Amino acid sequence: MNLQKKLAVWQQEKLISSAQGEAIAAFEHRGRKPVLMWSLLALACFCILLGTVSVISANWQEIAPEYKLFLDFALLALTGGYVLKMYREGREIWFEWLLLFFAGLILASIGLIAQIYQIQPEGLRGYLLWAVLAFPVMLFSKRIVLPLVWLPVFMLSLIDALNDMYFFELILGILQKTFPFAISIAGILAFAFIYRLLAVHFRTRLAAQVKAMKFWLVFDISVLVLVMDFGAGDVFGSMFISRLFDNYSWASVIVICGLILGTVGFGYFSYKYNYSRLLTCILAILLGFSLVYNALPENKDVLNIWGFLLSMSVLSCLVAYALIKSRVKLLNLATALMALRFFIVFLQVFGSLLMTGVGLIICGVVFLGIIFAWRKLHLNSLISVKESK
Amino acid sequence: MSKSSLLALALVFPIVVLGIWTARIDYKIKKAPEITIRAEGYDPRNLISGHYLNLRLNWQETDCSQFSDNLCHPSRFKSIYNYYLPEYAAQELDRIILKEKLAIDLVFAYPKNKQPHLKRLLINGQKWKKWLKKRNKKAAE
Repeated sequence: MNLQKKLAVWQQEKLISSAQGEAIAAFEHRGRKPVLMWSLLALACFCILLGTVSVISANWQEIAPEYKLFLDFALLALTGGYVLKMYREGREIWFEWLLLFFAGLILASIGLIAQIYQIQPEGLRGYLLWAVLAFPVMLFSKRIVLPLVWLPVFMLSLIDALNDMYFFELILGILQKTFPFAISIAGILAFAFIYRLLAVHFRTRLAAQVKAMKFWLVFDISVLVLVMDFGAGDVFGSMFISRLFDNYSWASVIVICGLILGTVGFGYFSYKYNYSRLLTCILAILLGFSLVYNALPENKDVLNIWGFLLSMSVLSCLVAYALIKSRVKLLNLATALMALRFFIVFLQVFGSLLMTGVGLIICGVVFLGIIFAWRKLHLNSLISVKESK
Repeated sequence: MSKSSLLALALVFPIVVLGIWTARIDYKIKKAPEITIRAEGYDPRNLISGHYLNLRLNWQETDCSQFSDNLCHPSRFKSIYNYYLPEYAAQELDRIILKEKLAIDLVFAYPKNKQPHLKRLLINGQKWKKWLKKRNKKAAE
């Protein structure tokens, strides 16, 4: 039902007056974003860009390298000038699109220089150079798009560059030999610390950048949970060769203690901020399960069940958080994922009639719990509405 | 400093860095002496990857007297180099190199204490573009 129809029904039911209805309609109309205009603008920019690239490409060989470079630098300077003009005039949409275009031009310029001077590729160094050069302009973006692209490019190219350093390689080697997924967990923990620091000190000044970091943190954790759940037996099967209890060393003990202390430290220093307790719980679950995986036999059913338990633990944390914070959408999503995971575990593990029966009983009990949680949240929201009245 | 001035600095920064980078490479290439090293297709199945040739240096057939001490210095070079080509030339050269035995040379700028820098590709002693043009002209006649 659209808003106009809803308002008409509410007015009929005498829930709101006609003046209130008009005020609501006016308010909703004001808040509406010009999606069509934005889409057309994006399409126009894309067409012009593609057309320009095609025209230049068609005559590319006829242009002397000096002219190519001159044109490239002129285009960079011109775009930069317009970015500044749009910023000073407060034209936000144009500013954001031109900033994005400018960042893309930096990458294109690096490619052009590399092509003209036959610069040999060295891993992802070109992207690292782009990330460094685009970093200052990225900080000025008020929309999430540029930071969202910049962050993984920077992280991946930085890791690629660090990989060539003996010190970094040594640390990775120690982490890899300690227990499965130690590298991923250490990386996510470090990322969570940086995110928390930025979120505490720059939440308002760098809102888009902090949002982008949050997106990638959630994405990384989700991917790790999925890989640990479904891929522990297959993708990381080789990791079971070098297990802690087989290759016991002081380095392993230090790494494990460091990761435990890191997780506890993260929880301790950031417990009062949004999501921190949830994040600490999930990090602790991931760390705990990784250590358990270390001691598991290489049996597919066992790994499947532990994978299932891992996902359910993470989702339970989300449900608990949603209940405490009255986040209905998150609760719906987490419980739906729980139900889906239950269905998948049936396909993975339960084969016999007996096991299916046991599984169904557990499934029913969990669903009852979910219904209870939903009902509780619904009652809580009703109580809060009454109290506010 | 105002936000607008900071943005201006942020916008100038990549242009200046790219400019200095380009100038440095250009200076290095123009100033350093040249040496020519024989090369061959690195992997016949994947000689052309995209718009570049994959070439491996062939030190056995290289004239080491070009170096000041009359000794070749393979350790200062990479073993495989990519040479960027326009798309039409990449496809054509791919066909020709696979069929014919050609003398492929790579010309490097060879500065004293810095990494050698790839400058040109020679085919049968000529710049690849000139060689390809001549060959196509002959074929048309």
